[in-house]
Amino acid sequence: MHQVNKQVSEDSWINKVIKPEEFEKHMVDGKDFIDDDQIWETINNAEEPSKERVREILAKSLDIKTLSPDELATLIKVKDPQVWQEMYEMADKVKRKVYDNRIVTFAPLYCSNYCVNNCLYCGFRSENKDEKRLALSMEELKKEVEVLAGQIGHKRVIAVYGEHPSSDGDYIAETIKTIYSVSVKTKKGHGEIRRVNVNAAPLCVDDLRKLHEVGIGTYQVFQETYHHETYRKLHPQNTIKGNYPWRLYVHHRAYEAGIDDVAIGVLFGLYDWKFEVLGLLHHAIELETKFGVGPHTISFPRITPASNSPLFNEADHQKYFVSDEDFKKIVCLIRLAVPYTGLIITARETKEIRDDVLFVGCTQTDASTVIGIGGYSAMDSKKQNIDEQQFMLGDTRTLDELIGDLAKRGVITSFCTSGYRCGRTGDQIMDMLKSGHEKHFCKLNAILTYREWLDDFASEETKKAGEEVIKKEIAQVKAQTPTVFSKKLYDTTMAYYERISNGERDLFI
Amino acid sequence: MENAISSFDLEILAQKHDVRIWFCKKTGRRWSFIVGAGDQRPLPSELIYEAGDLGFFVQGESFDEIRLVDEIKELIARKNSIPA
Repeated sequence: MHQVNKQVSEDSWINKVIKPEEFEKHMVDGKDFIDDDQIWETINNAEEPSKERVREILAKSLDIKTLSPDELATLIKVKDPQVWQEMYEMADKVKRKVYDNRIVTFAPLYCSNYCVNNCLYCGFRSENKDEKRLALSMEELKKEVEVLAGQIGHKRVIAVYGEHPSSDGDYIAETIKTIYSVSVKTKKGHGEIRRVNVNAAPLCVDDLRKLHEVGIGTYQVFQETYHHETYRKLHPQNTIKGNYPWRLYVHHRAYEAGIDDVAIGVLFGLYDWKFEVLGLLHHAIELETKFGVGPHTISFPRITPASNSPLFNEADHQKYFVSDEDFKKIVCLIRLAVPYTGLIITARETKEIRDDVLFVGCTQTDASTVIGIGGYSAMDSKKQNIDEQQFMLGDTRTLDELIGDLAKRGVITSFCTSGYRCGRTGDQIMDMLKSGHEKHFCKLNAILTYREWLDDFASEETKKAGEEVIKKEIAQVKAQTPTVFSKKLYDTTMAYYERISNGERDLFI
Repeated sequence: MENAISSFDLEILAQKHDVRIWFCKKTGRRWSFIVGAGDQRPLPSELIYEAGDLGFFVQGESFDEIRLVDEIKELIARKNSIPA
């Protein structure tokens, strides 16, 4: 394992991390853009809408326009189950309009669980002495990637780190370079990770530049809860994470450092979900207003029991835990409110929930997930140990099983990473998502990468189901050529398809 | 250079060659969008010119690639000759 430098005093490091000048400049009169009272006022002032009013708002979502907080609060007030059903169907329709029918997969890759923070709900918190602390060396990291890219077949990962001097900006940058450097021979071609997204603590601009320079995909930081008082309660004030605005403005710093793909999220179950959904919308609007580019993805993990977490013993807090019914509503509302963004549902959720909620607007999910440090190369993907991971997984299906299940429902899995490798980033990707152009590329790149995966990694059963899906997808594209897809685009795609079938890899549109 | 090329510069090329053209910076495997011009089209994205860590992508049904690349080179030379 990576040697943690004991010479570096954690205290002296902690004191240097937060740079107030990097967030204070974005605040107005010393206040951040989340106004708790105003959010509650918006929610309380909204009334149960008529069907007509709901349909007006849904039409705006389908036009890929970000909803206003008032509009979102109005949708939250819907009570009629039939109207909710209409909203679920519209959420799926909106997702298909922006991203077509594909589901993108990824794997979390936990690199380090050393952490100086002490968040009450987290298995990595510093006071949890039962947690085994580990940080991968670059050699160990390569072994993890060899399994992910060479045996499972993932093309994108989200690398995860605790907040600690041993996993600072330099370590994260080195891990990104290492992950990209691995190439593994497969049945017909080779496997590699083509997009490294990062979930790490809020960094300063200089450190974020280091991640930008090594080609980070998306930089993901969740606020956990937007509610100031709850944030203070759950994140002790003598820790780095206790500083609300340092975390809230990290995406601003990322843009300043040149990273134009950022992701936001909430850990649902910490506070009232209605408030948090409004918080996410305010955050998306802030980024759109300031930088012209909203969040690339939004995540909505729901809290699960973490090792020795005191939060789970507090009866008073349990009122905020989110039911399955409300969880589905949350996902639907986020899809409708921020229609252009990617939505990620993870293996924290059970198979049953994922199978249901995937189709109210989700775009990405994980599989063959292991969240223990070094767990992929340890080859015990179905085994979970609460003392070695941040939380417990609800769905331990392998990637092959997930792809097979989706194929049986006629859904294509995509391993596409093409967008950020041909400049479909920042303003450009926002325009393409909002105008509906991106979905054409999503569809074609899904076909190309699915072909790669079926040839290199699929079991016989999954391959059989997958061949039917790919046949149907190609037939759809052919039928829409030249009306939707130009002949040049179709011909190029089919030429690439042929080359990939013959063993070439990483051809994209 | 990355701040010197404007959407106006690219608009001229986009209109003349009937393409969408965009200018990017490479970091690792990533090509980050800087500025672009011309309508979005459902056509393949082609990297037609690279200079160091900068690159130009084009979407077009049919265009004279050699001539377009020459004009990109001229544009870069012109921008480089302007004192900072």
